[in-house]
Amino acid sequence: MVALLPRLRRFASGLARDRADGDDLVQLTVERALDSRAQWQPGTRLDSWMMRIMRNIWIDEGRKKTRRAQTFVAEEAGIAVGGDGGQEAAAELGDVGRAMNRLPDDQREAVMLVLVEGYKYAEAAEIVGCPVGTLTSRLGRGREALLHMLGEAA
Amino acid sequence: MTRDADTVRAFVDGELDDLTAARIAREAQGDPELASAIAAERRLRDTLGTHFNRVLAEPVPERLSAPVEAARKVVSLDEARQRRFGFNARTLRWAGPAMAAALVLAVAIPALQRGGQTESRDSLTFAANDLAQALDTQLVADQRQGSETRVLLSFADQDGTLCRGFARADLSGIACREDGGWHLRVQRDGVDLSANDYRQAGSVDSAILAAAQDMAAGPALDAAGERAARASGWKRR
Repeated sequence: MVALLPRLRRFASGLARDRADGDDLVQLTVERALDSRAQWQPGTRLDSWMMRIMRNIWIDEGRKKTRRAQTFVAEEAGIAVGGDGGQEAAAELGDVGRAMNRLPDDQREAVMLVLVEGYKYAEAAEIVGCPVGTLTSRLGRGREALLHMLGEAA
Repeated sequence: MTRDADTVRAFVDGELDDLTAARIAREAQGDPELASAIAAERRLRDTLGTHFNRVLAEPVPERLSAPVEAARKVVSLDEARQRRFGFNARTLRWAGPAMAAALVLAVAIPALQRGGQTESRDSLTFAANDLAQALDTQLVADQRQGSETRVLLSFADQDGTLCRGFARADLSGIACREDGGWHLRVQRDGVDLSANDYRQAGSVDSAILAAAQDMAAGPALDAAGERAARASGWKRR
């Protein structure tokens, strides 16, 4: 599980809209996974299982987080800059981060799972808990929007 | 014919059967529009990868790793107890499916990876075979024309883990020497090393050097530093 932490942080950094929220999400995921590790079936993929836990927590917490983020976003970004050892949150976010943050949650999740985490369509659909067709259509819309926003629509 | 966006995306994602994928690759050669759609999708993948993979190189905050480490100690106590008393029912129940799954993974994964230069363990990608050997032995200083792997530079990251940027015909990237072997933290497309395609090689090289710069804690190792690192088995400093 320790070896998975960097990947969980990567996935969380895409789901949550800022890094501090992302690490909170990882922490909750780790706690939930440790508490319910008896439910994990050895022989199945630990990474998929943990990604599923993470996205479920993210969905559960989503509404709360978004409200909080809207209220405190400036302040939290300020704290994150110090906490990240001097990395500039704004610069770090960049065009890609901003474009991703503008995608609807379901599309962002599909893009992260397939294009960043490298899951096959079927695996990503299982993590999300939706039919493969739904996953690919979210993925397609997300990509179109990203290509458009990043100026590669031509 | 093959213009529909879903097919192009499935092609780029490696989700098509071999026959269809081969047909599209062929069509793209005579169809600039299709070729550019494919290129745009690939660039998007790369862009997202570069953006999000930076997290992988960062040290994991202790508040995230500490609970796992603590839990692992508890588990290993359980295991110690188990070793003393033999297998419990739970182990036996899962052993069969787990071994079957491990076998499937062992058979399936090399076929999916590019040319067997990488292998997946704990869902992380490690260098294998020729690539692993080149990373173990080859120095930037004594690179020969015609070798399959070009090592671009070596450096230590913030944790002192030694990492090496490399380019091959089938893939390029940055691999860091961890307990399990050379972990590929950055993966990019291959470079045509035989042709004199400096432009293509240059853009991949500079992408890797830029990624290395983000990861490195100091300057790249010089020739003496590399030799010393090799002599120590690329151990963390």
